[in-house]
Amino acid sequence: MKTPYLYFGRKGYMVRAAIANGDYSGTGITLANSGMKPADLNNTTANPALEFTHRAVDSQASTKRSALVIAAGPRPGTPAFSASPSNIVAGEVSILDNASSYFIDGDEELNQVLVSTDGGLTPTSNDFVYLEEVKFSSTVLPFNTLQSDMCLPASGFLGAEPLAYTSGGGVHWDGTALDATRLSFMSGDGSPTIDKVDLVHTAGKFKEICEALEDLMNSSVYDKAIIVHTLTADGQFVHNAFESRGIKIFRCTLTSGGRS
Amino acid sequence: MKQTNFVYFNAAASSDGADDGSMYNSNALLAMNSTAAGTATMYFKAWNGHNDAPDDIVLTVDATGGDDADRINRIKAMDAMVDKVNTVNKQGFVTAFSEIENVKPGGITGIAITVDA
Repeated sequence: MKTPYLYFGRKGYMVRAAIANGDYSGTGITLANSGMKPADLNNTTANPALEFTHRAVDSQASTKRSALVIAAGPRPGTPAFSASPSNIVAGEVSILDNASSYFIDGDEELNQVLVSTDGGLTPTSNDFVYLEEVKFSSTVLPFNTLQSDMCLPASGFLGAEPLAYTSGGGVHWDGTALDATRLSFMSGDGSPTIDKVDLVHTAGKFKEICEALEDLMNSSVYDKAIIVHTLTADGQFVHNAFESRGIKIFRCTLTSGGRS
Repeated sequence: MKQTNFVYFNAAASSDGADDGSMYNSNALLAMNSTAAGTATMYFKAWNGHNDAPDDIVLTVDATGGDDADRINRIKAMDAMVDKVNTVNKQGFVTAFSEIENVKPGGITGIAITVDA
């Protein structure tokens, strides 16, 4: 029996409530909580595959944002910095993906640099920070091993279920509300476990995801895998069955049942 | 038209020893994924009927072109195997890879078969 095969590539995405001293110790960046494991620890130059972003919930005066951050400006599509750009107004979104604003230490924990003459931004504990993998790179793991990608037969699809996603208040830095969905497939190792594809995506799109999957799994593409989602060296690829339904994918975590 | 299709693999210059070759029902391909630089792995329902592990076929591709080129080559190899398991022909039998017959689709340079014990 012919069956389409769906290909999924991993994408990392982490949202955390900000910590005022910038030290996110105790919770490393893991596949389970972020869908990625950065490899360039104690980085002294920015990793182009990662974007680090701050979303302000609180207003703050007294020079909480460095000249470097001001020069980088807000993320595109977010409000312009206030008239006093070194202060912070609620709702502003700052670009911090440079080595003067954050690094990942040897324990794979995030460290945000507080405001100084050399860079940085001082958050409040009500704010949120986002670390997002934006393109394929060997500096973010796994990139060529188990759980970096999966190619699964549509005939092995078991079901989809919506999941709660509340990190960062369930909101991306651009204001997009987020939900999550789990896709379950028969395990690739033949055991009574499952292979899981966990997506964090635009909120309110569970039915649209089901429709997109139905389209793909009933398609007549049998001569190659259907690439549903992956990161390339140029950025993110999402199949049009998803994009045309207004579904943006922020995280794609792959869990292979049983095999190692 | 045959109703059951099979994929045949030959991994070595001969087919007279353990793991030199194998054949599976096309429906027995459970999954594929990258496993290392220059390799992707196919997982089939185990020949012995056990459900504790699959039979593995490791596909080797060129990994000399950098990480992203390697990623693309691994996908090409998986694409080729998708094509093979979905090929339905009169004989109901498809050679997916063969050293002996020099059938090496999708840039796959070699395979290694490990059946469940």
